[in-house]
Amino acid sequence: MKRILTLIILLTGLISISGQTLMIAPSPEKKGQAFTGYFNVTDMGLLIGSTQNSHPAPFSFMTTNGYHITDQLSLGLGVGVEFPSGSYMPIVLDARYYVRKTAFSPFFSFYGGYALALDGETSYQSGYTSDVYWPYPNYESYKAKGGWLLNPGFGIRNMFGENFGIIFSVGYRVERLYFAAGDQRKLLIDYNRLSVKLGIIFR
Amino acid sequence: MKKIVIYIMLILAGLTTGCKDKFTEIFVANSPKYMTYTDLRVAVKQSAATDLVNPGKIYFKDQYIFIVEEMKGIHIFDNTNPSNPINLTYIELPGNADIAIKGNILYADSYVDIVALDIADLAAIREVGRVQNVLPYTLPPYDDKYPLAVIDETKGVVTSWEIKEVKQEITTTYYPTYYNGGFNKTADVATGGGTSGVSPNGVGIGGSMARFGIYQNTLFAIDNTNLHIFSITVPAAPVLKKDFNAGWSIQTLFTVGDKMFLGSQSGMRIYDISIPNSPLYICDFWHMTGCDPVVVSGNYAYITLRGGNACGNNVSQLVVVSIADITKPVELKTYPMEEPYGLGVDNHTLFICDGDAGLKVFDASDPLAISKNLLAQFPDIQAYDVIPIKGLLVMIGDDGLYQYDYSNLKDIRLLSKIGVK
Repeated sequence: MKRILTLIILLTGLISISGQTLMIAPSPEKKGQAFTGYFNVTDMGLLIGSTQNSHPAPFSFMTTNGYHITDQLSLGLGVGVEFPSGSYMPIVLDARYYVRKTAFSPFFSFYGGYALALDGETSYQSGYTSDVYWPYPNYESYKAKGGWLLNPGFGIRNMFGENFGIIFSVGYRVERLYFAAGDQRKLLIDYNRLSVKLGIIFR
Repeated sequence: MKKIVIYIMLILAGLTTGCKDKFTEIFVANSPKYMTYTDLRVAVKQSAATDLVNPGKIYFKDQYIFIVEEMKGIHIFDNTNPSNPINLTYIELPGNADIAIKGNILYADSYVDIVALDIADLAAIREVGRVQNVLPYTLPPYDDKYPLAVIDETKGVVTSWEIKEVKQEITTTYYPTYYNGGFNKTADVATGGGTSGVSPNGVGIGGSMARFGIYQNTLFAIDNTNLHIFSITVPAAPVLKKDFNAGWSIQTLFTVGDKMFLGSQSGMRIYDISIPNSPLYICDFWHMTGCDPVVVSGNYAYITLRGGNACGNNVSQLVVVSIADITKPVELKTYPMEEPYGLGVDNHTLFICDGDAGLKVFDASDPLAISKNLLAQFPDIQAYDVIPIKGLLVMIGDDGLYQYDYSNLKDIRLLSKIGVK
């Protein structure tokens, strides 16, 4: 838990560094300014799945620093912390396309990358085919190895001024996490989740 | 635009509803090799006599010994001279673990089927009847150093295994098995029962861990939980009459007169089978959980419990139960044992395969003083099943089948050995 808190503090620090000056300025739309240059998006939300899952809606936090290649297209690098089943630090490449060149604009996004495992050993229920009747679940201890993730989605940006706005996004998360129990046994967990996030954007 | 967003949201919500996490395991396992059901049903074949490799249950009819080659087939020996049994022939019968014989018809399991074979002419054995899909799906022996991969029952029956890495979703499936007596070579003997050779209808004598029994024109077959009742009024055409749940973890079936005793891991259940198609429950006798071969003679049932294994406890003992009142079995006495496997009884003479302690022979005339009446002990004779038949003691162990002459209990003499390859 300490490690997770430290990570959140570090990530929050990144926000303040990349956030530059938090000036509430007139919206670009009104001034006719272009959406270019560096930006930071920091959001948090839930990865929602079936209620039958052991973790039906784990928390997700991510901060992304990037650059507007054009008024409507941006690329960035994101890092965060998530708890799909244990603790992970996703590091992703982020691309966004804003439909309008205005302060209020829908956008489409796509990010994907690798989730670093932060936990040690974790116990998971394992299956078995057996000729010995055993009515109770079997558990196997696995070492988390991390995994990859993809998250296409869409959302809405609303700038309150030249440098600050809020951002809401919904996406479809595909994630595969790897685990190993010694050399002989491996476990893959495939997640398909609805990501729902609310965040802020700095320019 | 709003509509588009709403539609997309609805689609995503729909996708998420079915978003159940998928767990996939990758491991080195016993991966099944299948025989299709079509092939299974044409697999019965008579072939030349062959050596025993992995002998299972045994059965006697007239002067012949039938030895199951576990999950593979049946060896037939002419035992006219027990000192020199002659290996006559072999029947290839995939998935076989149990047999019973009435007249000239041999009934056997073949994975999920019951097969009727005409053995009137041992030079021309042929399949004459089959009841398909009446027994639970079962598995052949496997390398227990590795777990089992998931089984796809639609592909057929599992005949062998290949050790390789498999990738599969997490599933949990239990399959009962019946080879090795089904429970680590625990043995049971059904002498004196409805499967006895003294039966006037020409039924043979069942061997170890009998799961099949014949009473009048009815064949009984037990799996772990269900009793399957077949009419054999037309011997070559068995007909399934009824299946019913008879408990759990049932290991053995034997009949004495019109009573049927089902031995389970935690007790013995008794039925009245005077109306064979409708067994009538009489009572249960509960004992400690354990592998529990049972024999019955007269008013007494003898049960050995073997502990220190997967059978469920650490106590090894002989339990003597009075069944004078069949509705109220009463435990008379228990005797400590070393590691009892099979046992057999001939009138008042009780034979127990007691692990490293060897074969013990008791005079059981006084059920309250059996331990004081040890007639003989043979540490060198180690087996997991023993069947006494009128002075002939037949024992089966890992290395084959032994026949002894016990007409002189103080001097049990080895007559012959049918070794394994």
